[in-house]
Amino acid sequence: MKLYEFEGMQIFQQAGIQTPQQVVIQSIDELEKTYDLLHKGSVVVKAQTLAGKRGKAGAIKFCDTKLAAKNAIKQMLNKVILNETVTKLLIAEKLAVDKEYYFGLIFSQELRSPMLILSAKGGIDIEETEKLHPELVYKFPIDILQGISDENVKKMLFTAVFPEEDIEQLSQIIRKCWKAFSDFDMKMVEINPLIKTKQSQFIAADSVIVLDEAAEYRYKIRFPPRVGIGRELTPIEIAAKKIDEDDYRGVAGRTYIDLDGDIGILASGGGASITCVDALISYGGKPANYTEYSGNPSAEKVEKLARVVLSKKGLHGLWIIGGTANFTRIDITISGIIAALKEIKPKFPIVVRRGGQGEKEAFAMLDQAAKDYGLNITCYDDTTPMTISAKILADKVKEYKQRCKE
Amino acid sequence: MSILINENTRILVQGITGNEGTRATKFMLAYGSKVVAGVTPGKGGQNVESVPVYNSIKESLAKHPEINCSVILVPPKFAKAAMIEAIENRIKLINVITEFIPIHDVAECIAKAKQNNCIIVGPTSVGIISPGKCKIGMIGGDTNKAYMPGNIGIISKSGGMSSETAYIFKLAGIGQSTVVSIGGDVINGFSFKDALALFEKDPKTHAVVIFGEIGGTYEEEAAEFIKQAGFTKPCAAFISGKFAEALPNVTLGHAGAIIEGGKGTRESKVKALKDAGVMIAEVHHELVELVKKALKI
Repeated sequence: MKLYEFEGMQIFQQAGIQTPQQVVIQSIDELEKTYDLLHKGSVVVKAQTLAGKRGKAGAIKFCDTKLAAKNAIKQMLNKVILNETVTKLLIAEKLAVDKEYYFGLIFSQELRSPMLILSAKGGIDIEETEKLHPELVYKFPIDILQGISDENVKKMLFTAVFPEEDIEQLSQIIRKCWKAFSDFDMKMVEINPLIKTKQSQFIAADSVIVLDEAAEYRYKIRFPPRVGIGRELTPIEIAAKKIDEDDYRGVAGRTYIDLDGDIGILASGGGASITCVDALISYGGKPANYTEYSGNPSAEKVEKLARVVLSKKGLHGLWIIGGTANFTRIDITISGIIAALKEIKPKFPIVVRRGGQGEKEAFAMLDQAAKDYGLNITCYDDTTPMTISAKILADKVKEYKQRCKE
Repeated sequence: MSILINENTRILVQGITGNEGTRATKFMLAYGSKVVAGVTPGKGGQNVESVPVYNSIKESLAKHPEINCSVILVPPKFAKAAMIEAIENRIKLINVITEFIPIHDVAECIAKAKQNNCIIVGPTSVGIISPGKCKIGMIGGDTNKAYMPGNIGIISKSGGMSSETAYIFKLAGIGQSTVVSIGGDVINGFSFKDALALFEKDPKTHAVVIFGEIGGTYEEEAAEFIKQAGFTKPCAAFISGKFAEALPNVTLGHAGAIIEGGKGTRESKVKALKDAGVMIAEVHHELVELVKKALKI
């Protein structure tokens, strides 16, 4: 779970890492109450978005007067920035910067251990710096069983050519961060920039923190849930999400993403679903959504999900697709889909490819429904590879669209 | 032959009395795998499917010193303790089926396993099968219809797709030496490269198929290993996630980009593997034709 900057700042404060004087506001009126608290005259107004690269997207503005701050707030609050409606702004004192450092901790897949990243040349262009001057960005693997000692960190800072006079204080901050990294179950933490002020204070001027969802049961601070796709949910996505909230049996609707194509998808199983949608696109089909259900959901839940998928305007096909289920009952889940189909009675081609417990009964029900309600359904069992049925469907949809035109 | 497991594998199930543990035990026994003991703290003395249950691994090893493999099916909260117990008792092969284990716990256990020369396959693995000899974990469920003995090794990040991949080969008359579900977590104990190293030494494996996914660097690592002649047999790969990559997503800060250095995308994986001479299937079922051609079947 990615945290907003202001949420990350709360963790830094708990970990004893100094942050700028700052307030979070949700309306322009709050500026009156807060501006004087910052009592520095100059402030920085930062839109709270989950996406990075805010500086380049105009989501961070330095303001020397209250009027400028007001204007900045007006430009950002409740506006869509980086695919997200900004509801919170962080207003922080403007620091007198002497140096900008970079600090990061993240798991390296290659080494299967945490990695400390340091650069004495921090700031917004750190990635560019890494590309152009890799010698300025240092990476150190950390032995997770040993942790990091003061001596260790000082050696690293020395190697990474940090000024000698800053090493003592930076080492303390890094070790506090390391402790927070494990105490708060972070997948990554980044301070960029870690500012040394002209008054020789060391301040975390930004926070990027990703918490490990798997450790939610032991989180020390709880943050409100969020969606990870970097944009607001559409009404159909919200409807899909509700299906799982109302019924604990299996999973249906938790993952539902609106796409801009014309083929509805009802897929089963994560790995298989992604493989199948890739194949459909390869054969020229355009998915209208991505969704997957699994874990033997009830017929009612699958029916609701089918209704959500079929509610999309302008569909030209439907794909009911999944591997050979180990656990999910095919007859039960298919019966839910049929319940939705016989009411909506779509004319477009429907291709089913499925295997597992109850498949014979499921195919018989589909055949019957096709006859009774005039549906255009073609069924394939698991002797037809899933991705072959992608081609069959893409071709049928093409033909159907052609016929519609005529 | 096969890799990791064979007819000499003697299995301990950690978490045997739980729902998933009991189900997996049934599946394994039905396939003929030798499940000799189970462990659930506090439930020693019971039996699950006629398999004796002990309170600790130490107790079970005292009665069954032949145990050389543990399958872990405990809830995520207890997975770290279970892995550490298996490592401390020097069980050489530990297959972790449990999903959703905190990454800090996983990294710690993998570091510890390395120190003690144990192999952790997983977490989030559905299991391993050497058809006709042995299977561990949930792989194949109760039908096993996707699998038959043969000469192809399969390594898959996705559990479900390890069966589907095996099955499209079986439909073409091609069986498998061993199928390993390595799991799709950021950090896992056994990568494509680790599996390739073992398949290279297995004379019965004539070719290997990789099912990869976007994210992480294991595919690139495998490509590098092949390039350096660590693996010299024919290899075909499918990397899923083409469409998922096109979705808007939240960037994870600079550290992710710095650490992966441009790796992790489908494009990077496909390029690295192609450069290493790996055959790439654009659509999943094309894997079969690629392997057939390479082996002149």
